Amino acid sequence: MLKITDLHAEVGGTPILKGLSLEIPSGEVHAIMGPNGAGKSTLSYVLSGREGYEVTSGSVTLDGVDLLALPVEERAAAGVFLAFQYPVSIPGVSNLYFMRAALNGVRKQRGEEELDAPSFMRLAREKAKLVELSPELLKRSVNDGFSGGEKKRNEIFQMALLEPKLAILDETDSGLDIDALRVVSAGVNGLRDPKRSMLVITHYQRLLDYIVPDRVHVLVDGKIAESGGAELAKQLERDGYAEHRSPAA
Amino acid sequence: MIEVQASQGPEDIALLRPQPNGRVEHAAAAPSLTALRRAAERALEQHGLPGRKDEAWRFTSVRGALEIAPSAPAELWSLERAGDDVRAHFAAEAFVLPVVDGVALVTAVDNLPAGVQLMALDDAHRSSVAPDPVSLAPERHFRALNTARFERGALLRIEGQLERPVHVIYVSTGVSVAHAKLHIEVVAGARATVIEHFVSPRKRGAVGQGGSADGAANVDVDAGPSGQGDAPPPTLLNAVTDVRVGPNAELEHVRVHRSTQLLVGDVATELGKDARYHSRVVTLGGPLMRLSLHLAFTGKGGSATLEGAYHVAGRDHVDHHTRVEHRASHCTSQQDYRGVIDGHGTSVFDGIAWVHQNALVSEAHQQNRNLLLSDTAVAHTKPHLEIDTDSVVASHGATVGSIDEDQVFYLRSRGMRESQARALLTFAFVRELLQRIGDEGTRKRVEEAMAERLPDGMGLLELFGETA
Repeated sequence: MLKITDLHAEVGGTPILKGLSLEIPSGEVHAIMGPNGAGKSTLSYVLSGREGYEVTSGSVTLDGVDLLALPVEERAAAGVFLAFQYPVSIPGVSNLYFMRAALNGVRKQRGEEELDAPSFMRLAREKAKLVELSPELLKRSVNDGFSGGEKKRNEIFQMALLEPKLAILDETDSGLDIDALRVVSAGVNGLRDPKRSMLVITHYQRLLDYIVPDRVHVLVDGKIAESGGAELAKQLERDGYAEHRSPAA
Repeated sequence: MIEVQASQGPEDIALLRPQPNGRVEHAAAAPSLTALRRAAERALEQHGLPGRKDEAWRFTSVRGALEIAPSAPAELWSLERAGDDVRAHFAAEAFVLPVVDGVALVTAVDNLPAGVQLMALDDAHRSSVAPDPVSLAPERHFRALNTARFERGALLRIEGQLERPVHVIYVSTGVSVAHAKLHIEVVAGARATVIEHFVSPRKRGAVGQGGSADGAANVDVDAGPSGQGDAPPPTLLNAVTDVRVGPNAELEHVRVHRSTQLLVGDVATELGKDARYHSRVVTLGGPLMRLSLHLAFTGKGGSATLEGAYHVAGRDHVDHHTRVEHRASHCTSQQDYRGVIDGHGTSVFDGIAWVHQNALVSEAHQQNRNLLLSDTAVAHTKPHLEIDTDSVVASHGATVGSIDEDQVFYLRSRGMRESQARALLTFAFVRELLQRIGDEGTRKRVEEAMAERLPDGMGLLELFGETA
């Protein structure tokens, strides 16, 4: 279970998150929606530990582990996974070798045995099927020359391999056409698990037609302004965030 | 402090002193070779050695080299023993020409593949296969010094389609100054790979007394700065390689520089009609490593790729100069130099592609990219084009930057340690060029050597699926 309590964070001295509290029990999918600049991406970076995002107060725990005390890679080992809005391409580094190193890095940190090349290959092929990622793409350099849809499918493939306790999907629907959206969503739904919490960050309700959340939160000005069931997303799509913008409302 | 003049005259330059007990003048040299040597002596008297005011040496001081006086040569038997060591070590790689203290040990080479002729330059000059001098690089400066002083050069003449590469391994017994000269001639329609491999000297007298003469055993990868601790006094190897690739012939020419010597290299290459040439340079540090690569298309339809991957650390100074001349039409040249500079290292890249007026339908590209790993690392880069014709497709570019933090974060977010992520990104940056080396043994050797030089680089090869 992810537990965020009264989280304050700033970027370059500017406060972005201003007292955010949120709990995502294991097995649940929560969506965070909100207008531009509300702090959605900042939240995803703060949770994954990116440099330059400074937490000034509050706490974040995942199954009782204090995430904020850990560097990026140790959070990954603790079970945090961020599916990037803009996955980074890494020319010259094969997707497969990278993921084998990553998975073994995580397994090592968790005190598990490292996978040898054949076992890893079997696992990778199996997980690639989940998001219909072609074996040819697995061998290519990480995200290098991938289409928008291929990049997002690659993110979900990586998530499937790393089996996180907390999956953060940052605007996973951006840049996807309807077919790619279907494939990616099916991949994510296939990874729903009683031991896994998911945080889906999105701008539009569209994605939530495919990945139906247990809870929807509206993030405005660095705080959760409203929470509700899946129907809240539809209401927001209809009415916009206008009523949340003015503190008087 | 010595102010180095634009061109140093012979007075008081230690390097120009005659070698005590040198063997060169005793040789009953071929008249044509003697004439070349005399011309070179005159050029040396006239132009001296380069200084900082020479544009081509603006960023590279040779003062350290000028201060080295030639020492007496090692006994021939000890050169030969060192040569035997080298051959034994590289035995698996079929055909090895050891060059010890600049002396090409041509007579000791056996198992020559069919289609390969190897002879001492002096003998070549007396025979019908005397190499035409490759005239595009002027006989000046270190090249003139080389011609005047080299003891025994070699002519390597390739006539067939060689399946396995020819390895030329340069080693040193510790003599203070050595001059090596090699002519490579790939005749019409032939195809070959020649690998020139410069490895570190051992302590004086150590070579030939058993043990390995491989660079891996000798190059102390942690000994970055020269002159640190009890480092031996600097020694200089001045190596000139002239290359002629005949019509419709193909040469892959690999050079691996992984020596703690001061190394001044000069390669001049002439390509005939429809000839193909691939220069692949790997430079792994060095207190002074200067390579001048001068290439000319003399017949139409030729193609050349000039690639270089370098890693510079400590106080190493590495300087690659390239000059590609399109003198004929329908030729294509691609230059791609990439390097990693760490510590107080300095890299210089100065590349020019010159498309002559009559070189119609030419294509010339050049690129130099540098990755700086420290605040004190320096990269000078100057790719340029000189185009005297209209019908040309050309490009040039240079970058100097540091590791992309977005990439580091991405890798770490998947569970990779930060140091491993940085090493991986650094290695990937240069590995692409290393991968193009056709000979598997050499490719693995340089990949390993490159990875070892990177912080936390151990295990990188395994990561890339290459088991060391």
